[in-house]
Parts: sequence; structure tokens; C-alpha cells
Amino acid sequence: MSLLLEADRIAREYSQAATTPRLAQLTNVVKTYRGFVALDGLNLEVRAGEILVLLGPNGAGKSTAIKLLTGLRSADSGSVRLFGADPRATKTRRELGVTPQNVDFPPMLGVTEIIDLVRAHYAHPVGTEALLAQFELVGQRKRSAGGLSGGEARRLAVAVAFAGAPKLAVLDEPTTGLDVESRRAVWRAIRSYVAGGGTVLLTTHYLEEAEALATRIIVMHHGRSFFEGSVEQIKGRLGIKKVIVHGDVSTPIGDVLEVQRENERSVLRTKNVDAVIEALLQRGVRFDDIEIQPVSLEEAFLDLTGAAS
Amino acid sequence: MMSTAVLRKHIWIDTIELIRVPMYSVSTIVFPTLLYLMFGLPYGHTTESAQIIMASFCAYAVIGVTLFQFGVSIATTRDSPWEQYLRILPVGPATRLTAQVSAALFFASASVGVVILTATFVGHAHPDFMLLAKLIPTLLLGSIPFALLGITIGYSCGRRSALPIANLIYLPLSLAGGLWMPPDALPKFIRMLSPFVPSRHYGEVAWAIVRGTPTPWASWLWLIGYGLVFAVTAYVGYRRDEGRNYA
Repeated sequence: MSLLLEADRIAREYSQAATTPRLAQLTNVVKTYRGFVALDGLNLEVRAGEILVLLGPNGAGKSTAIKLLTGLRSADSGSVRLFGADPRATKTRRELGVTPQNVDFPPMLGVTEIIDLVRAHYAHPVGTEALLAQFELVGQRKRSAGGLSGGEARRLAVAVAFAGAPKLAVLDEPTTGLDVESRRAVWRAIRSYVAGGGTVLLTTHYLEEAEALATRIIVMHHGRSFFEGSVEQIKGRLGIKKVIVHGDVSTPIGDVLEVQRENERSVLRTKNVDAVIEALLQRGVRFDDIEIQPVSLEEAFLDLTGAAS
Repeated sequence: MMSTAVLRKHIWIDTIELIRVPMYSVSTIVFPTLLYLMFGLPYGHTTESAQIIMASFCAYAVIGVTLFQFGVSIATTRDSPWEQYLRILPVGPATRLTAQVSAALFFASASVGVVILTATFVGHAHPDFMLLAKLIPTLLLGSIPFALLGITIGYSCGRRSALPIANLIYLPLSLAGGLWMPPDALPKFIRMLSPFVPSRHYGEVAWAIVRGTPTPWASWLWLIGYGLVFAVTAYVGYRRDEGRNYA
């Protein structure tokens, strides 16, 4: 029965995916920099209305993928399409908003001058006031970029991505270096933009951020898409759960991959929860002393990329 | 296709960004006039000599703007994240270049304007409208080879070396060109070199306007020749930078 439900869910997902327009597509893309293979046959698509998060360790190729998608660089081979056209052409980028990874706004330009410069490139930009309020920059409006703190400059960098009310916003590590409060403000802005019909592609180092925002995640490793799915699917990818037992489990149990002792508890990592619990109960462990936990995204992520290398 | 609203915005931003850097605006707008006051003003006793000296320092001012604005600006920004961000915006390279040239025109006009006003009100120059209507376009047209030299510096020098290198070219070029003192008053060795440097021919075309002598076509040919050479070096530098940073 559950298999049937699962098959039904997958079928529905596929039919949805088939009808949702693709805003951006990388197909079989290879990119090398002086012998270093940054992208090695990457396939990736951004579907309308989603928040697609690119996860991966440094050097996985996330930023290179974004450089290709925003027209900053061209692929050695494979195809790169943005809104169905070549992102290297100026007019293709009319409905694209971007947050660069490292910002160095000209120190002599004012906050509102920078926002207005960006707005001038778009047909239906967001109002400057609304943008300042959304990114908590109202107090900094009269400042020049050189006088902003790191966090304020970062918020301005994210704000300009949304200034043109674009169809697709590409955010390369939007919250790196932000304090918790600023990060939440950025998250709110991203969610409200998507609720209003926008689409987001973002890279991040923070698993918490992926968990909070992503409707879909692509894990990149060595220049390829290593895994693709929802947060839940990534966690379930290896099917590993943690069985926590209060007390010592000294003798080995079949199906347990790893045992960790934490004070009074033993943490057993396994793919086969049923078998492990049965074995524990047979050994006289009380059911009340057993706890089952899913692994965190961070653990699943480490398992995924660890298995790849 | 160039949108005028976007172009206006880029011109505005490119201009105010530089105006607000005192080291840039003071050195391009005020320095030529200061040098004029020290080395030019004392020698311009007659209207004609005063106007020739005025034209020399105007030429000196324009060369400075072209070398610094194109040379130093390009070298310091070409691989910056902000430059990369601007390239992602839906704006073509033609709009960006037009804006940069417009900002350079603004600074060139300002520095030339200050020299002319000083020469008129402090010195003995009496330029009438017709003279200025010929002199200023001549200065702008003749500055094209120097702008291309500036672009060459911008794409071949590092962000730290561009400023000293621009100065190392700018000052000897101005001296050897006879822009600070008449070519005949130069030391012998420099006087021999003078007819071969582009700044000398830039001076010649400006002096001919002031003197009312016939257009020195040979000097224009020299300027065109230098222009072609620097166009090639600028293009090679540009292509190499594109290949390195944006291929």
C-alpha cells in the first residue's frame, strides 16, 4: 500500500515538473580554469516558483555554475540557457536579479544611489523606500557605501538583487557574515518575494539556511550534481536513522553501522531500524529507553559528500 | 540598443564617483592650473604668447585626464567584484563605454575651463568665442590617441602599478612635448626627442589654432599613427583581460 502511495506521489511530482516552466538550464556543462575542472558535466535546472538551493563544499563548483548562468563566463562545452536564451546576451538578463558573492560597492556612492542605479536597468522596479524597509536599511539611506558595516553592505547586496522585481533572483551566499537577526530579515524577504511569484536560486554554506528555505536542494561535489531532492529526501537518501539507547550496548548488533557512546547513552546509526530495535528488545532493553531520531541535514550532507570522495 | 535613462544613470554615477575622490578631482582639475600659474603665467607677456601657453597647459590637462581616467580607473576596477556585478546587469558594453567617455569629457572640460579662465583673468590671454570654438574640439579630437594609451595602461598594468606608471609616462611626455616650456627652450637631448613624441604633435595642432597658422597636417598624421598603434595595444590588452577574467 505504502509503495503504491509512493509511486503515485512520484508520478504526480513528475507531471508537475513537466508542466512547470524552466527559468534556467545547464545541460552537460563542462568548465575548466587553466587545467582545473570546475564543472564536470553539470546538469541543473531552475523551475518557476521554487527556491533551489545549491549546497556543496568549497570548490564544488557552485559559484562557477552561477557565473555561467549570469553570463559572466562561458562554458567549454554543454549548454547554458537563461529564460530560454543565452545569458551572455545583454537583453537575456532583463529579468534577472543577482547578489554577488563578494561585494565592494564604490565607497563614495550612497546607499540610495546604488539602489537607484540598479533600478534604472529594469522595466518595473521595486520602490526604493520599500526595498530599504524590507532589508532594514532605512537608517543607512544617507550613508555612503564606504561607511557601511559588513552586515549592512551584505544586506544592500541582497537588496539590489530584488530591486528590479526580477523573474529570477540568483543569490550567491546571501547571508555569509550576517548576524542571526539580519539573516532572518533576508529570509523573510526571500520568502515574500517567492510568495509574490518570484523564483530563487541560492548557494549557501549554512545547512540551517537550506533547511529553512529550500523547496529543492542540489548537492554539488567535484563539479557535478551529486544529489537532487527535497530536504526530506536528502535526509532519507541514505536511509540512516539514529537509535539512541539509554545504557550501554556493548555486544555488536547486526545492521548497526556505527556506535557512539555519549555519557549514559549509546547512539547507533543504522539503515534498518526495525531489526535493531528487535535485537535490542530481545536483549532485555526496555522499550522506554529507546529513542529514534532522524539524522540532521548536516549529517546527511557529510555522509553524501563523504561517500563521493 | 541603448536606453537613454540607463545611459544617463551610468554617466551620472561614473562622474560623481570620481568627483567625490578628492585625490582624483583635485589632481585632474586643479594641478594643471597650478602648474600654469608657476611655469606658464610668468612668460606670457603678449596676448599671443599668453594664449600659446594657455593652449599648452590645456593640452597638458587633457592628457592627464585621459591617462588617469582610462588608465588608472580601468586598472583598479577591471577585476573587481563591483565591475563583475555591473557586467551582470542588463546593460551592454557600449553604454558603459559611452558613460566612461562622457565622464572623461566632463573632467577634461572642467580642467581646460579652469586653465582658460585663469589665463584670461589672471594672465594676458583674451580668447574670443571663435578661438575657443576651434581650440576645444581640436583638443578633444587630438586626445583620442592618449585615451587609447590610457586604455593600454589600464589593461596591461596591475592595480598598484598603474598610477606610478601613468605618471612616469605623463610627466616626461608633457615635458618632451613642449607643453611646459616652448620646445626651443628644452635641453638639447630632449629637444632632439621632441619631434617624435605624440604630445609634441598634440601641442602643434593646438598652437596652430591660437596662432592662426594653417592646419599642421603632418602633426595630425603623427597623431593618427600613434592612435592606430595605441588602438592595437589597447585592443590586445582588452582581449587578454576578457580571456582571463570573463571567458
